[in-house]
Amino acid sequence: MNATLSLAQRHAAGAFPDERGRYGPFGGRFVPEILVPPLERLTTAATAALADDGYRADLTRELREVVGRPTAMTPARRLSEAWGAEIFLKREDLAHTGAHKINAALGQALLARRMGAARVIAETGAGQHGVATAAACARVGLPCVVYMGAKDVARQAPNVHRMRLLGAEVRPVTAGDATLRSAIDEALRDWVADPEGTYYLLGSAVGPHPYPWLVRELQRVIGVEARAQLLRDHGGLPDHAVACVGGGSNAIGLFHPFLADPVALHGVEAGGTGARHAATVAHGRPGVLHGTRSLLLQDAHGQIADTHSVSAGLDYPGVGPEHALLAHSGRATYTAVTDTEALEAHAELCRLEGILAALESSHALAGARKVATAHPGSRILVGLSGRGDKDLATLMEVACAA
Amino acid sequence: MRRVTEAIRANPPAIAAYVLGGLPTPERFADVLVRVSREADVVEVGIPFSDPMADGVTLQEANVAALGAGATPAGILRTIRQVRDRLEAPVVVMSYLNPLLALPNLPGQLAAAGVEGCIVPDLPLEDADLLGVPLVQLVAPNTPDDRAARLVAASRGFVYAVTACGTTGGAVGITPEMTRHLRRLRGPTPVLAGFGIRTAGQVATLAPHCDGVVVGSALVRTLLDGGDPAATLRGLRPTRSAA
Repeated sequence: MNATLSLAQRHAAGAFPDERGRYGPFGGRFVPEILVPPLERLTTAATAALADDGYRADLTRELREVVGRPTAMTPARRLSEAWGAEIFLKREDLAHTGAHKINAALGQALLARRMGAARVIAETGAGQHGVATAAACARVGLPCVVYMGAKDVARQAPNVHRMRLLGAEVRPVTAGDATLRSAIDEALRDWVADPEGTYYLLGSAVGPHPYPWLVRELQRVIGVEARAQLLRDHGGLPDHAVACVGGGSNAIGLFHPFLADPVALHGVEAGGTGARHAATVAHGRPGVLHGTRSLLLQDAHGQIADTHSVSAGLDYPGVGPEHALLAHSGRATYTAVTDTEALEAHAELCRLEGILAALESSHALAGARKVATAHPGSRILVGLSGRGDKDLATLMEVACAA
Repeated sequence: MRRVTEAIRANPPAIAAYVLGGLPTPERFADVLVRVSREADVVEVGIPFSDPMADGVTLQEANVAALGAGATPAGILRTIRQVRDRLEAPVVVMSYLNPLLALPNLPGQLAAAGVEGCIVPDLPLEDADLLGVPLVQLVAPNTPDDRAARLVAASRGFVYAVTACGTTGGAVGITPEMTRHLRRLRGPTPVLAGFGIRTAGQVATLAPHCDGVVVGSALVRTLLDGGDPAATLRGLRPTRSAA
């Protein structure tokens, strides 16, 4: 690779991940030895599958016939008027099971079947990935166990019922902080116990190589479609693309196809209450968690910090290694919005566009509103990663408290 | 790590005893360390981590307890340094990468505490030089033979043979696969079998196939229950008189 190219240029040219699964100083595979053979096997199988016309044709057909792709691109006319910028919504909330998570779940379930796995395990935070995995496993005919933090089980009850109806076994995790992070710990332990027969269907662009790459490749469809839709139907590229970032799977899916374009990329993290938050890129330091080197919320002794967000899906102390690289190279900027700002943006979208967004996606909206204020009249693409029906209980609590 | 290798060679089947730094309390940990060093051939001192992904329920609980009691990586190394002249067995540190990366000048701090090296389950062979300290390598039953040979060659002090597929603290039995796994690791560096060892019978069964064992969860269970870890260790070595 030409050394005179900047990190961002090399990134746009496809230099990352490198052959060791690194994204510049981030990424890699920091796992117990027992997980090295299954991760090698997964890397080989995923590389072969993604290069295989048969697998790609199956996936494309399933995405069309089951997921309902391509998802709509909605020009948000009244929101645009209110914010003084041209707002376009990439509608992953319209995908089957209600969020972008189904893209990676179905892609990996097809891969698990191709690899001859006997069962699938997954972790989930908000429950969207768990629901998507349960649905995908039902579709391909594989038994499925979903690990979910006990705290999330309580605040996302409808999704727990949904997973069970779809045939998955939901195992609440009470260890640690009982959120997404503990669920990942527990899913990894399950995998360690049976690394050959089990497929670990990871939901975000985090974890050891090949997961951040595999999940990105399966989520890129969001940005590929959005780019084509804007070019074909809406007068050209956007000036800005905005997405919420927890682990960062919908954001990397939206961003990646725009890396070589003159499009400013904005990741929006969960600022929580301000003092208590999950804004990893904004406040984190480099470290190693869940098999990857990335930015982490941690104390001075390297212990992982407890996080807070009104949205369970963003409540994670790490971030995908490719986002750490995008922040490091300056190709994308990351900001945090508070619970309150996200709830305000949520309410505005409901009132002005008749769309009930997920609380995670509402962070992207709140971030987009700030971009609109800073760049009046600009064209802003917002990744609307999921629908908010799962958040009704939280929203009603907030409404009652107000 | 020469002292570690010599201690294991001197007393087969050797016992490497794992104690978690800061247990039962940061104050009483020094005493536990000294007493355990009189019974064990090698002492592994665990530095607690908030997300111990390779550990089973007992050690998860212990990590939470130790951190809750105020244990810190620097504090644990300070304790080892303070009692190093009273320790009767060489010490290695076992922890995850993240808390070790957070320690400034790790090689210097380990040397000052008299620690011989580290065992870091989430630090892969490919990054073995990352911390700048000698490493005991772990080899799993599902590790391919060519990779196992590279791990054995890179390992310092001893080779840590993971004997059960799973996190720490599970059950262990001797299967033909396991004896084959242990046999392929034999070489100039001694091999200790770990994961799930809790009885003298297991130690005796494993003894012909390796140079010794690592006792971890069983010892930590004793500590969590308020028992005497030295007594637990003596119970694993029926032929050796109480020190």
